[in-house]
Amino acid sequence: MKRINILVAFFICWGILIIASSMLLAVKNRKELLDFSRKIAERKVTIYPVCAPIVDCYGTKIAWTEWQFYLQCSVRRKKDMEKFFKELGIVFEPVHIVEKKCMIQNIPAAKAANAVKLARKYRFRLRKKTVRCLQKLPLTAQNFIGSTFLYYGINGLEAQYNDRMQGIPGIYQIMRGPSGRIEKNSFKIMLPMRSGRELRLQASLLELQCGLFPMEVIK
Amino acid sequence: MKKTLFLFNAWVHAILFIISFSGIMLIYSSRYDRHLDLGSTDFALKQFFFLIIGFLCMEYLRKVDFHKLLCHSKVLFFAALVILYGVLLFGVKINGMRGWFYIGKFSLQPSELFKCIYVLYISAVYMKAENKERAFLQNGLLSIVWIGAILLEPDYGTAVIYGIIFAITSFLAGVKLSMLALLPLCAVTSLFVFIGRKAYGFNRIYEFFSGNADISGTAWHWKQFQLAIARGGWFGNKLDGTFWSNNYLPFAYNDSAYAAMHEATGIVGAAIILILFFVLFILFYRESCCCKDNQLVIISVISAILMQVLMHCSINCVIIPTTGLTMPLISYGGSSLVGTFLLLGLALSFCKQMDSTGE
Repeated sequence: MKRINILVAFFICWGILIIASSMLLAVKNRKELLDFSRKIAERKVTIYPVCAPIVDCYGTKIAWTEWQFYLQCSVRRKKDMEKFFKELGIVFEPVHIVEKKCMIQNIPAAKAANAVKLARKYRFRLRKKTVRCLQKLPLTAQNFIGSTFLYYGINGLEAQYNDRMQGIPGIYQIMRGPSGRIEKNSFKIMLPMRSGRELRLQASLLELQCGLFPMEVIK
Repeated sequence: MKKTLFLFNAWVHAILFIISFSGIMLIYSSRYDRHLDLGSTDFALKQFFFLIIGFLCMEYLRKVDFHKLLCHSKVLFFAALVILYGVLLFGVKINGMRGWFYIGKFSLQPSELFKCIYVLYISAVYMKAENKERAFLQNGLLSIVWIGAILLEPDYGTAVIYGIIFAITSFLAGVKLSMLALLPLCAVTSLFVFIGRKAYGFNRIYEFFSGNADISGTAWHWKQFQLAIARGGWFGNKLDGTFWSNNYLPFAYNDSAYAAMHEATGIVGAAIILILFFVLFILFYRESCCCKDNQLVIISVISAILMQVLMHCSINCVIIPTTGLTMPLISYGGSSLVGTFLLLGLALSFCKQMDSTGE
């Protein structure tokens, strides 16, 4: 049956053609195609450094930044959210219900590590934000150090030395797809991030609590 | 002789095992779960379930006497034809195609499952017929009715595969070349009908051959194929580095399986899988040489599988215009997987009988 041999030869030629065209794409035109793929998937990301603390003369933190985790999810997943918090050992009390669509509840720092692991199980995405914390001080001392509350803005030392404590945000280039997956080894530094420098006061925490404010700060 | 058959079966099963599990790995890696930062197991587990069902079907069909299959081929063919037209009335529409029946949680695609019945019937007609040209016309008319049902779904990729199966079987059966020349005419007519019905079909074919492809439009799919293949290089990005398949490649676990496999395993891995399909073909070819009577069915079946593999790879390598076509044993899809195993079971059944009679 000679026709079978013709068929076999035809299949083999076709197979060779496929491998040759694969090689053309994966070897010869690879660089050009990779550049094109970068154009499609490359994104610029700005990463902000954590704001440096204000410390007293002994190094005790007076104002500092903390990461706070919170869970924001659709009202439709309320049951999952309840299970999640029950397993985490936290009472389920969503703080905000935005337009009856999504709920938000904060997670204490002590439970954050467990929450990250548990979020994977329940397929929740934990969000995080930075919160500026301040030692308990009399009102005058608080005004001297300053605060970063949304409605009051920044005042005192916080405002005066904001740039120094904030540092410089870094700009990075990554390859990220619509599903949110980041390509390994695609991290390119465009502008390196510089951390903020802490502000050391001449006075101690006790002096601040007694109303004695330092005339100058140690830079 | 029994030892030879045992060795043949062992080789076939080993190759099927390697190819099928590569497919499951590919499906696992191309279904990325952003919450787990890992491949997702949902589709891979379903594929594994259908792999077991397909394997059991193949083993069952392998043990069936091929004389019985040939006797019942006509009944099976017409019953399948009724179901194919039934799916147009009672089927479910998925991705714009009315080609599935829902059974519980699973959807079944008759056009994929009945490939073995189609091959069996047209081969049986050729085997019984003394006048091959008359058998060609009879098979041709029935094939038009069969493929018509698939075109009405509309599933152009599968329809093309059926057309090619018919062409190969007729060619192997010894039909005169002058009669076979009718087939390209039919193909061109069908192409014009397709272009007339679907404007995007014309754009897709025109832009493919003209080279003036709009990357944001019709050329988007094949540009993604090219990019996924290019990212694979020689040795690929391993299964956890299939970034392009997870994000940009459309249907990476199904219609773009070859490109996704290329990204994961590179030229080397993709070529090994392709070579394994060729080895499978050669094993059946060698085994079929022992008995000329059954050669037509065995070669038609294995050619149908290899042809679909080559078509799928060609679409992914941008050698031919894009159409949705799965890669047998690799792509996700229960019907496709079980249909391929049924085809293999049919070929093995004819090989087994050949051994006992051919000795």
